[in-house]
Amino acid sequence: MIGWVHPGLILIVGAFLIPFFKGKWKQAYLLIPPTAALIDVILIYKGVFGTIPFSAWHIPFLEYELVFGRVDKLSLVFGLVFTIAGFCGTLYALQVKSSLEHMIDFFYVGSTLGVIFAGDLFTLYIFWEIMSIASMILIWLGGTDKAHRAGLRYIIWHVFGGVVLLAGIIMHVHTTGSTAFNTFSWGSGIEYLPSYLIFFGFILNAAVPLLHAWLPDAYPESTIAGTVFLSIFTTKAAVYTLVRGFTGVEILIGLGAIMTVYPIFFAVLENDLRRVLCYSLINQVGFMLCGIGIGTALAVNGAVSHAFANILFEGLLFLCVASVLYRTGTCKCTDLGGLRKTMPLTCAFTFVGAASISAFPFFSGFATKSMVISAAALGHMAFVWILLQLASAGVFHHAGIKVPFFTFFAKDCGLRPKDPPLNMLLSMGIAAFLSIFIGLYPYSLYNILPYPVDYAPFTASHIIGQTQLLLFASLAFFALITSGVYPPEQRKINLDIDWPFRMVGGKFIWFCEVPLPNFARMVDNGMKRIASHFSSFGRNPLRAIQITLSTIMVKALKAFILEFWWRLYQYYERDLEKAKSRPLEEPMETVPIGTAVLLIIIFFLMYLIITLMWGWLAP
Amino acid sequence: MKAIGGKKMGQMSGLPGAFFVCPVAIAVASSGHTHTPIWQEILLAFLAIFGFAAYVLLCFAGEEPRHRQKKVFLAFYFCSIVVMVLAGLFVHWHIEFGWQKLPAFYAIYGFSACVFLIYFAKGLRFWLPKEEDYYERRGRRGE
Repeated sequence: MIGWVHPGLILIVGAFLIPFFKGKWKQAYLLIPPTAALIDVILIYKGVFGTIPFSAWHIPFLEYELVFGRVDKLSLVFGLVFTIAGFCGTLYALQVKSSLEHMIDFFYVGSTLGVIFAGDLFTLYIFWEIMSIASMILIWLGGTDKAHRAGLRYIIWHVFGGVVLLAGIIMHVHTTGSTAFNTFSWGSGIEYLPSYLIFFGFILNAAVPLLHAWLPDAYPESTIAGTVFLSIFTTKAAVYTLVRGFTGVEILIGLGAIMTVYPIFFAVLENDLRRVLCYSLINQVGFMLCGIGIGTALAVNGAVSHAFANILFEGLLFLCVASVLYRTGTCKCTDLGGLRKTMPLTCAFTFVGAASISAFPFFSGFATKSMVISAAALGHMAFVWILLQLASAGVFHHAGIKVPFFTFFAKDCGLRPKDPPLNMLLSMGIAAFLSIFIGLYPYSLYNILPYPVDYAPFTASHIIGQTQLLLFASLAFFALITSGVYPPEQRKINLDIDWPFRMVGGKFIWFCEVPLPNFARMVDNGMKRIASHFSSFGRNPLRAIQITLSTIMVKALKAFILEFWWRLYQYYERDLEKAKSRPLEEPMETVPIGTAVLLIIIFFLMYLIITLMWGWLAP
Repeated sequence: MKAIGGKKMGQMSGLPGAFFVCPVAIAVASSGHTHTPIWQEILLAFLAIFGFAAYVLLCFAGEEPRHRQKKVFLAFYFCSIVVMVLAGLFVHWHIEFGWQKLPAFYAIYGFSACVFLIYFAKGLRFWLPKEEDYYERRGRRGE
């Protein structure tokens, strides 16, 4: 029996060795830690480290215990898909020269695995913060000024969420006395405040409505491969924590349903394909949150399996767009088109991703998303069902048609890029293969879900209904695009919910940069003047007093100059000039010793008298 | 510009073959988990692939400059739409909500949902889109 090894640790330790390798050796080495982590997770499934579920790596910390390895079906599903995604991402990013970027990638994936396997709230929090910082650096590696600022905005959101989470954790530990990370109590009332705070920290990372703006703002500013990594980990880790902690919390149904619909409008208007995919990512996470909120076994299975499938097909779409960006240097709809002739394989993989995300039958999204929608139907949530179906048509429209159509068809943009290098194609191929495999044989995925699955995806009504929905959605798209109603792509950015924050933030920075320093300078000058007065007073009290008095008199009299005190004013003015002309340091007037002794004796005498009087009067 | 046009159509001749082999493979793969007879599964898989192919070909048909086979693709696409609606008439639907009893409900809903989304987005276009350096100019007032 071998002791359990944390797959995240393999990556984090592996990251430190990257700078020691160069060239081909580095490329070879880079694949080792992700492969090892993947094999590690598969070995856990095989039961090499003990029967599942088990808990390992307990480390005492103050009077608590940190649990690094809580392994059960739920954490293993996420662990498996994250290690697969980490492997594909690393394989894709082999061309990247910067050791730093690879190290950050490894830290990011490793810390996400840390979150997944964390058994207590402190461990969770530690990895949660490493994850935010690693992702921020990954955004900064984009290298542009825009990326720098987007990264700052990103970390402001996430530090805020992290602080709220920490506050919630501390209150939770204080009230319950337990650090274990399990389902939190939920209800309405002030006694549930710790749960609310923790919930807030989690849903911020899941990019729920009103807290989502960081995602389409910051992710597309990262490097070519960095965006792929970013799109996978943070949001799905949040989905995992919500499944673990807040299954059946009803507010998630509403949040999720809204979240599936509103990004579609933004995605329709958006010109940057990576932003389009970011909005579709929010839309997909909406389906998962909806499933978590419904909370039945079917719904939670749907949420988890959809997260699994989504990481693969959403990652695939991001990989395809990244390949186009890698070859052409742009991913704007207005600059692309007609690439299918020179990038046929990328085009084919994009179709696989697009068909999976829009849930064509026998592609992965079909077998997973439908569980959530069925759960909504079984719960008789008519409005939620309507919204989810609307979102299904919408996601087909922007991710299923817009992405492949405007990149590989539409018009001839004049660019003739080749397919990307072999490693990138391989990475996309693995993701595409898995998407089709899960679509064809979803039972392989159903078997590893947290609850036993009793769901048949391939019923006649389901297949025909879904195909009808999608084909008629595409009919609407092409009918509108040929009739010219469809809004043409523009070289514009779209305002999002972060507009007030960014405007107020801009004003705040202006306030910090202009009026605030002026005020500080004013206070500073005032203090300096007071200090200089004191110093001149100390050096020559007589002169200072004379100057002060005559200045006051001059100023007071100047206000109402009348014939009556004109002479008086002149007198004080002369006095002021005379005082100012006195040297700052005059020779001190000496006092004879006798006088000094006399003064001291008088003081002592007074003291004596007071003491005597006191002694006489007090009793 | 010689790449434009369908000179690679020769290489695509394997596709129709796949078109008929795939449904069988899919049906065999998924059999054993369902109680429906195998011929129904093959038919369903065939219909699903039909729909997927129609979607891919529609992208080809929407291309500019127009594809040589545009009319064929469009014919295929409309054919698939009609087949889907017809197939829907023979399917036993799981009714959870009243509106699902409507014939071709999913078709109507898919079409109207997409039209609604596009029109709504078009409305948003009046105030959401801004110049690409909007925040750079607006946020830095006073410098």
